[in-house]
Amino acid sequence: MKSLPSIVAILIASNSLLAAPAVTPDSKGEYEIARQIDQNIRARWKQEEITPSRRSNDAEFIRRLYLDLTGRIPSAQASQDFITSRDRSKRTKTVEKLVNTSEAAENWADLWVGVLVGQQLRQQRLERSVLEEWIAKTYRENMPYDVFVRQLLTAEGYSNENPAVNFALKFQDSNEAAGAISKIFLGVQIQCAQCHNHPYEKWTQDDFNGFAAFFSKTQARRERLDAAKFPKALQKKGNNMSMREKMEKAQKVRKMKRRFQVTEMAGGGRRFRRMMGNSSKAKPKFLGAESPSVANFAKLRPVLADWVTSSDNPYFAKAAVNRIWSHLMGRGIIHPLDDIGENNPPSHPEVLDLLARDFIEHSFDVKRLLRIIARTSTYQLSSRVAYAHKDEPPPDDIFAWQQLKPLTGEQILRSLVETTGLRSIKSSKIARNLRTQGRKVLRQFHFAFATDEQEEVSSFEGTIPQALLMMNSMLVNESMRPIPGNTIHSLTNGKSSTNDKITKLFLAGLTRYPSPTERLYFNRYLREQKHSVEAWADLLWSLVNSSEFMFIH
Amino acid sequence: MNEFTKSFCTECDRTSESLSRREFMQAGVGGGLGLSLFGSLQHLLAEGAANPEAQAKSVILLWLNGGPSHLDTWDPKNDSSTKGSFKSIATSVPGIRICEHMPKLARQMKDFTILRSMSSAEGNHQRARYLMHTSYAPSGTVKHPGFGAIVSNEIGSEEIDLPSFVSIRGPSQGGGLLGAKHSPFFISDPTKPIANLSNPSGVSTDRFDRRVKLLNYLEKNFSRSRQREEVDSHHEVYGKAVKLVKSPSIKAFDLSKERESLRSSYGKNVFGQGCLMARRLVQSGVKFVEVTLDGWDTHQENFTRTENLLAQLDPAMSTLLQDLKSRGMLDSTLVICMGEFGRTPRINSNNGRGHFPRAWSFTIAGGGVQGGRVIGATSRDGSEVKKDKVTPPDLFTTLSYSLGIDPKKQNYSSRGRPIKLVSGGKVIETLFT
Repeated sequence: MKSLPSIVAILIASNSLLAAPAVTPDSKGEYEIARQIDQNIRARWKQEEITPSRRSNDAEFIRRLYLDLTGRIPSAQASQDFITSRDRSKRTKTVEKLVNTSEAAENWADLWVGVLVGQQLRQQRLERSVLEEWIAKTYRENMPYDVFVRQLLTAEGYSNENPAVNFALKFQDSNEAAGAISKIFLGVQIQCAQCHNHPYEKWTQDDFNGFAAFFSKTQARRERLDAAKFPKALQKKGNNMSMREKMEKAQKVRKMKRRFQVTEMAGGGRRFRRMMGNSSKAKPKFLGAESPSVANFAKLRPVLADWVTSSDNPYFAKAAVNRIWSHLMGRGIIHPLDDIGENNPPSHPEVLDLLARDFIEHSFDVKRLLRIIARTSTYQLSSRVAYAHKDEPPPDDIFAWQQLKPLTGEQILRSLVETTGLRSIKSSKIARNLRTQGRKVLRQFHFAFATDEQEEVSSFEGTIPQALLMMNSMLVNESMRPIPGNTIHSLTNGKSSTNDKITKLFLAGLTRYPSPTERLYFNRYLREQKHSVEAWADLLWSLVNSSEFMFIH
Repeated sequence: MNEFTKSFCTECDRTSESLSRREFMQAGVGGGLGLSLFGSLQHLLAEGAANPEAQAKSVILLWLNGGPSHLDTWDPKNDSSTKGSFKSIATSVPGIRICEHMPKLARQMKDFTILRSMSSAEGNHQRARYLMHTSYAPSGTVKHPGFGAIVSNEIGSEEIDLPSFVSIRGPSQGGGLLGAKHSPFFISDPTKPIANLSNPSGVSTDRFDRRVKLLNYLEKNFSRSRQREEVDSHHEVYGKAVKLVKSPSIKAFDLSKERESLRSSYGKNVFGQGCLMARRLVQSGVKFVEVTLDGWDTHQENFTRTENLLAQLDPAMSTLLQDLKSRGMLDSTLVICMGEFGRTPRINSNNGRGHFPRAWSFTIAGGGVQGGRVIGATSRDGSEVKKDKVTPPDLFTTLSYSLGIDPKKQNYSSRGRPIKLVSGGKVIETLFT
């Protein structure tokens, strides 16, 4: 029997949900899917007597949406425009708009390049940036997800010419490839079965070896090219070239020299003695399914790709929608997201089925999937836990509130550029300096924030070096000196009132208006410090170092 | 027997009967697991008690990333098909021979011990690195803390401003279920000033304090409205970072305080200087320092590359042992040198060697370990352990023993599952007697 207060709480909460987005034309049926998801999730709240959080306010929502979809916070102007807009379908419209930006493509590439080849920036064989650019392109061109995966699984060619081969170059042998591919695209962990039958799940060593056998005819090798085989343009003597041309040529030659080639052999029973092949004699076999009949002359990876990306594959679509759900919600319906199995059931199987079915029916349209999830009321909940649960928050797997997600290194960097107004700097020594130092700074951020360990961690793991980077780094501090065009410059040179400036500062840093006490506190600080330029920089510094800045909430 | 089979299977941190039975049989056939190796010290651990006579107070791990060839380092062979192009040389201990490219270490053999009988089950870099830092195989459901994080949690002191766990050149292993505060402090290049450790120009101590005060004010508001451990963790990490920036003990990172001659004998390269920094850090109270020498994944050109790497390892490790000894620090500092696995006895067509977890070597010194020994042996071609097989959990249980940490103590995963500090294993007793 429910207690009266909890019933009241549910009513209030569901009221606030009902009062949510005005119905917009739903020609593509996306809203209907989102509604069904919410219904299912709400039923669980009711069943478990959970009071969900309120709907996020506009400021909270727009910051979250920008970070999740485009990888950075919105500009002060964009946030203000959104917050003050009276358009009742502004959330849906903004989702639609942001999904189609080129920044969304870059954000998508950031996410996937980490999933595919890990976080280490420099790796022996593969061309990370080539792969990254290609992933962004597939998003911009709306390449269906199954086609994307198929290309990754079957790619052949040179690392600097066919970007997708860089995924295969990540692996030293077919065992490694088998473990990673089943985990990434099917959400199934079979690595354990490499050495022994999985104790709790159904996978056997035979399953593992059968899956790994699909890679036994694929080899990756470094191409040894002598200069005579280089394209004509690169053979030319450099006498008449400018310094820049010489450097470009040298770089191309370097890339030529260190490129790798992935090839798959289409020969009968022959296998490559090593490279990606392993010593196992196993016949290719799908996971939990039969061995395919493969013609003797056929290549094996395309056969595997057919099975993996098929609409009938029991894991493929589910693993994909679960990953994207987790990207937006901070937690998978199956969690951890790459451990699908009988011992790790989904928290909301119907939601997973619904999303997977819709994904398949709409030819694996990634943007549609992002739009649907972002349109759910569940995604749009506040990250503040409902008052009824103030002592103990409801369990994470019930999605009664929005999780806190730490910003990635890329997201922090991009957001800093936005907050400090670096983007608007026209020409100055510092801007040039920052540009030339950009690579180093990016590497620092990457090193501090993106470790491979973090990919499977459910909870935030900040570190001292991250804090030091945010507090003391050149980028953070130089960008907070007044430079024509940047935030501090406009705050310290503008004619508006201190109050308006504090508002602008908060919008730029935290995408919200200051509370009355914050306004008082900041005002007092400025007075004490005689409104100096340094005082404004101190305020901005405190905003970007706060947890509110460092988390998507 | 039950305990042993359990300890053996580090896969999935669960017990797998099929594996453990098979492996147990193998070990039985090898005949090395007598009481001589795992014996009377066990009662201490059986009681769940830590070693009251623990000597080690800190650990330096020399991490040979990529997996060094055991045959071309600590376990040289004469078998013509596998030995490759290196010769072996005699050491200061009669009967012990090591690779010719470690002459300085050969002279110092009395200070450390070689284990030639490590056997593990992970042949993938990432998984093996995880195993050799945590004693557990990666499971996907629990994130085990690296041993550095465990040491930091168990014996790290709050009174020291420096982080308890430092990794010079990474990748190391994070705090896992112990949380961010036990993750390593990374140093990317010990020969350069540590990035962002001091305030930028224009920010005086006073101004920095004012900034921190503003930050704390904002934190209080956000933390109150969210009540999430992530926010507390962020706050805690910042607290430590602020303390570090202001601490006088950061001069431990400054190698210019050392004699030039000592700096040179460590080797004027990043690894050598990293080892020197490790000694300075341990001296200042840091509990676990990991120094990485990368490049051992020698699928091609194994011999040229290994020789180059040994030219860095030999002076660095020998000087480190000497330096620790002359300062009376060796008894209280465990020094371990290892990678994630060994390399195949077979030499491939690129003159390289593949990954080989089944039988390989590592070395250990200090912390009460008797030097000048070889424990265990492999077969003629180095492909099988023939005597005194040890496993990754044995190693970590041994380290725990020397540090006075109870390896059976449990931490809890985020799902509330109890996780022992070390995944089973026995003390390698012969190291201490």
